[in-house]
Amino acid sequence: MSVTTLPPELVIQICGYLELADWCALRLTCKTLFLQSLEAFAGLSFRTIWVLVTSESLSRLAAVAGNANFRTRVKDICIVPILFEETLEEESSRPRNLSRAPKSTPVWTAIHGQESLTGAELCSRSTAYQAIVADHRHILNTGFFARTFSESLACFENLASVGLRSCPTWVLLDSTRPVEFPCLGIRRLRNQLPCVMEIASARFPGPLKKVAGNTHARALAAIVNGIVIGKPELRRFEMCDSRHCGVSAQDLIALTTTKPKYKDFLILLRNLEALHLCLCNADKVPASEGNDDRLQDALEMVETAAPSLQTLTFSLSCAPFKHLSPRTFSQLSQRVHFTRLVELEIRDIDFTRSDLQAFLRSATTTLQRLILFKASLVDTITPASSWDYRAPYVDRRQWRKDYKSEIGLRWRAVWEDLRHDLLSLRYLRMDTLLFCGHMIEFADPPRSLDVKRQRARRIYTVTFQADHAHTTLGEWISDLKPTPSETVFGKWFAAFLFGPLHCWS
Amino acid sequence: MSATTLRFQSSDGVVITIDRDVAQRSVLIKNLLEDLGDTTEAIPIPNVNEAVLRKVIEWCEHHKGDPPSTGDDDDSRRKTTDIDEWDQKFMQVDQEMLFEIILAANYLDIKGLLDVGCKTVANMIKGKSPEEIRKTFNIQNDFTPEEEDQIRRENEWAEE
Repeated sequence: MSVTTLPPELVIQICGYLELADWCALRLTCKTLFLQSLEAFAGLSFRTIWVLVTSESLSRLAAVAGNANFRTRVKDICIVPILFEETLEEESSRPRNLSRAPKSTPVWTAIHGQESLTGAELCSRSTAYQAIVADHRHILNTGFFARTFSESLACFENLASVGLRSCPTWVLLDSTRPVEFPCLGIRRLRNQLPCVMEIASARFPGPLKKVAGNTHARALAAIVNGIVIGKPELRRFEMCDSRHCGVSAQDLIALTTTKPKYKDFLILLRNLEALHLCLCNADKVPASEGNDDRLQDALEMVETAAPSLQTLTFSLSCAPFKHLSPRTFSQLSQRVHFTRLVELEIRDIDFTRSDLQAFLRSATTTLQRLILFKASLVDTITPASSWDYRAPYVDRRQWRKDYKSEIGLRWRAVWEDLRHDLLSLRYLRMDTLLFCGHMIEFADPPRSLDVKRQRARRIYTVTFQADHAHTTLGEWISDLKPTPSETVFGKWFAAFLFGPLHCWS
Repeated sequence: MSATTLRFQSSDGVVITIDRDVAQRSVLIKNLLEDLGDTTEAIPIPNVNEAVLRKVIEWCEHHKGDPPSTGDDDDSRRKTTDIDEWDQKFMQVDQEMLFEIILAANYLDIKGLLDVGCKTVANMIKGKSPEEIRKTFNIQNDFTPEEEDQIRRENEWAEE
């Protein structure tokens, strides 16, 4: 009796107690142990893989795609399309010379190194950084990434989930941070430019959202190509992650112009269970009848997948307070039909009360979790009298008071719809709601706070959780005290100053 | 009223009498007793010889007060290989016996003992090179150099 005579299920159980490095060593001992643990090893190690936009990562991906033992195990592929995020805006120019670069941000500190370096060491790091950036840009800009990635993707016949991810580069470079899944090519990256950062959070710089969409779009095009060739039965499709960097709307429109291929892609979304679709810079799409139609084509992803979707995250612009025309959402809401939607997150979208109701009408019995983030209500308010900026101050103040009161009533009507229509709703989170550019504040619900503190505190986020609440959703909604802020954002700013103040009509 | 002791016959024909509550650490025995009801006959354990059966009984007697295993193993990797002191001493046996205990625990469905056995083997593997593992378990390397290279490459992909 020896370890090699144990049945496979016991060998696998033993391997379950091993670190990956030990399991790798065990695989190299003999054919019996290699074969007995192969299936479990492949399933564990290659179920989810992350791909960087580097030559090394793509070549590893191609190798995995060519390996009959592993490629069938791959279920989830995540692409990290962006490297050195804070240098994105310099994309057209030569990568920065490190000796002249500031050390003001995590990514630049990572590139510089935190230790005090000699001139030669800094020069060496500078060369490594420039080589990585040159490689990254070359394969992204020449179509090499799209071609190679889509060829590999087509080999993963059991692929169920594909998406884009963002990960700060200094996190990728830091070898002390364990990577949860195989991130192909990360070892070489870490060898080229090793760094250790003593920063707790893996935050992305805010301005990245402005420039990430285009890079994301190029990665998305490669994904779509690969999906159309390989025809996997996708269950999950994600254009970005919790950072909601999204894909540039203009580029997504360009994708839909390859009609036959896009239609083939849509067909493959028919069994999708989770969709994360964020468009960024959607407000920058030139307004024209043609573009409106093309944007609707892009949103056909939502319409096609809707009947099978259980989770939907949906955003029409990442630029705060610069949303698309509510017509876009209105048209979609008339066509979309859910049958099993459980979780919905709507972000950065303008809608009317009736359009939101229409959008949710087919999810009334199934929807359990709803998140509204920077959702803006744009119903028309027709004041009793027209706005007159020459009127006495007292009249103008009353006019504004009436108007703000009307805003509160409009949002309250939406919440009443949710309470009335969404019979299964267990979780409702509303974060930074707006009405035609007015942010909605909520009076502080806890009464224990002293008045001074209560006055100082502004609340823009409220959450109802049925499992922890002592009240019903209806009672919770009744307790909400919405107050439109005086501040007006975006295109409504001028209207608020000079009137008339009615919204979209 | 149920008998407080039960008799078991090992694969080499030896009959051993043990307390019922000790025997019921084995899910196989527990289910068998539920199906059979009371029995005075010796229950055959065809896959386990006397020496191994006595070791298994020793473990069950020591752990008879332990809460029953919940059996809700999740899929996540269980990295902890901590073994309590008594179990460590209990597992200080030759490899032949160690693997026989693991097989018996698996057959008799005694999860706690199976876990201790597997952890013991895992601890014998941890931190060793392939060659050191081969020496530890007296394994013959039957890979060709090309096969070894291929597996090393695959390991690198997984270890990224």
